[in-house]
This record gives sequence, C-alpha cells and structure tokens, in this order.
Amino acid sequence: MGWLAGLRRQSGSAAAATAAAPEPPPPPERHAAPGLVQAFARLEARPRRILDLGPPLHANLSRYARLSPRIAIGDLTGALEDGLSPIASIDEAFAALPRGGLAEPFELVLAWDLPNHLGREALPRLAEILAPRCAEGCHLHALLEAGKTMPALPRRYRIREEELEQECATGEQIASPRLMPGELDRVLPGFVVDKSRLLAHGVQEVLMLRTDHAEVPITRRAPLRRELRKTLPRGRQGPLPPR
Amino acid sequence: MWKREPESATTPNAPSMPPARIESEPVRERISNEPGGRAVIGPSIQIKGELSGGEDLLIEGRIEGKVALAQHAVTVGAKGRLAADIHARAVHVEGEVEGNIAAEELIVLKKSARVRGDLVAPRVVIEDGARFKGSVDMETKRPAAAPTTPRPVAAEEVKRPADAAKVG
Repeated sequence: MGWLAGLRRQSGSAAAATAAAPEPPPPPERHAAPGLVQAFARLEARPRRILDLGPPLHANLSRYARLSPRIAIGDLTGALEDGLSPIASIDEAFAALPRGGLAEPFELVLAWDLPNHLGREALPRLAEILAPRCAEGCHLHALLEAGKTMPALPRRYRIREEELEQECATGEQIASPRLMPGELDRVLPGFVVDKSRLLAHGVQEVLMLRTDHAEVPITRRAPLRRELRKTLPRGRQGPLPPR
Repeated sequence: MWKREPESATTPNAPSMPPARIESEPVRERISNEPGGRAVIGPSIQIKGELSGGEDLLIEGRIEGKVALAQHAVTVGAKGRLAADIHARAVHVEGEVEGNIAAEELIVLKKSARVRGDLVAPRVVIEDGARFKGSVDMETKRPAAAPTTPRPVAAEEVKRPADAAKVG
C-alpha cells in the first residue's frame, strides 16, 4: 500500500498548496438565455442602438453588428475590477458615452450580472443616468443571482448563438444581494420587469422595459406587453410566455 | 522639416508635417522614417496641436490635439499616449487614446489598447482584453475610391450588418 501512502502525501501537499493559493477561476460554462433571444428578436424588427454595460468582447460585438451598426460600450465590469466603487463605476462609464451625442436613444441595454455587483444602493443611480437615454419600450436585460453566493467579480458573458458562455476572472465567492425581480421595479425607477425566468443554473433572467408609466402595477401592464408583441416579427412570438 | 535617418533621407514622399508645438529636445532624432516608409514619433516626443501628413505614421510618443492623415494609416504603438481625435484611412491602437477615432476603412483595438471615445469606421475590430468605453458607429459610407475586390477578413473582425450577411 506504499502507493496509497504516496497518493495521500500528494493529495495532502496539493491541498496545502490550494489553501495557500487564491481560488482558481472555474471553467467557462454555457447556459440558455431565452430572454436575450427575445430581446434580440425584437431588435431584428427595428434595429436600433445597443448599450452593453459589460466589457467589449469580440463575440458580442459580432452579434450586435448583425443587428445594429451603432453600439455603445460602458465597461462597468472593467471599472469594478479596477476597484472603483459602484457609483463611481457608473459615473465613469457614462462620462465616456456622451461624446458621440446621444440623440438616438438606446433600444437594448445589456446589464449582464452587474446589478448584483452594483447593489441596491447604486442601482437607483444607474436608473437615473440610464432612463433618459433609453427609448420608451427599451429592453434592459439582466441576470440576477438567486443563490446565496456569487463570484467576487462580475462575470464575462459571450453570446454563443442562443446561449451565453459565462466566464469568471476569479474563483473567490462573496455574498449575493439576492435581488428579486419585483425589487428591481423599485431600485431601477423608469423600468418595469416585463419577463422573469429562473434558469436551470440558479440565475434569474430578467427582461425589463423602459417606460414612463413605471408606476403602473405589474398586473396592469398588458398594454405594454401587447405593444411589445406588435414589434416582434412573425414566427418569433413563441418565446413570449402568456401572463 | 525633420531630419531623417540615413536610409530614409532619399524617400521620395517626404512627410509634410504642419506646424506643431513640440515639447522635447531630441525631436529630430526621434521622428524618423522606418524602412517600410512609415514615419515614427518616438516615445520621448510630446506634441500639442494638429498633426497631418502624407505617409503612414507610428506614434509611440504623446500627442494632444488632433491627428489627421485621411489617406494613410495611423498606428498608436504600445507606448503611445494620445489625448487627441484621430482621422485616418486605417487606425491600429495598441496604446492609450482619449478621443474620437474616425477611419475611412478600419479601426483595430489590440488587446493592449485602452481607448475612451467614439469609433466611427465601416469596420471595427476590438480584440478581447482591450479596454474601451464609448460608442461604435459602423454605419459610415465607404469612400468612393474603396477597392471593390473582396479582401481577406480578419478572424476577430466585426462587420457591418450588410457585410456580415455577405460573409454568412
């Protein structure tokens, strides 16, 4: 059983090394994102400006370029990775955007998992800056962490057809704010949750709508949903679940 | 205007740099032509003002103001630091730019690039790892003299919707 003892010794030393070294990042994963598919389908009907609050990634830019020639990148992810506070990250991201003139409002905003990292305190600031720059009916796509923990840094998401490949720069975990979809209506004034799905990997995918009628209770938003359906091309209305 | 390195002294197309305020002593030695016909602004050069010319340019120094070489390629090297708007035929960025970039053909942000501003070009390439904040507008019209023959497509190239359809 000498080989077993050697294996144990190896395992022991490996465990010690692991304890000393920082948590390695997990391998990339792929998950479905039906809400994003729905948002893109709507944009195919009327291509307009897209705002990606994440970092500039080739896979995503290629996907956006098929929908719209006008893209804006906020890279809040980079700002948070640099150690800026959530509010400073938001301010810095939008300070870079007005250069080209924001006469044309955004029709799709991709927030990825950033709401989890911005937290309840900074999200109203995001809404304050973002809402005036979005067209009525603009979609805001977000991924809320439903579990107790989440990576210490925002994930990077790459669009792979109808799935999202997620990658994290760190294996370190922190407590998740566990934002609820209904809570987003309150912390993101000017936007209302239109669709929310709990995905198989424990993430709540949320599709919000920019509206000046955010005070309308969620149970009376049928006109908004009807308007949204009108903009969808034929044959792509399937992903919209009935309320 | 600038003293050339020996091998480039006989280059027929000498650059026509406009007046610019230069804040460094060894300017004449540091602005030179590469063997391939590209002018180089070395890392110790600082320029404030508008820079224009008639040949391709590699910038490894610092520029504040404007760079206008509409018919030529501009490369911001890894050591280049620009607080300037750039207008060129093609722009490659490996260093830092704070300003708007407009290109007649192509803009490439390499993975080491840090850019804050707007990008306007028919084709834009942003490599993973590049830091960029701002807008991308690929709706510009190609120049009339643009070649009509198909060109090789870079692996990491972002195409306009029409181009994407062509490539599949």
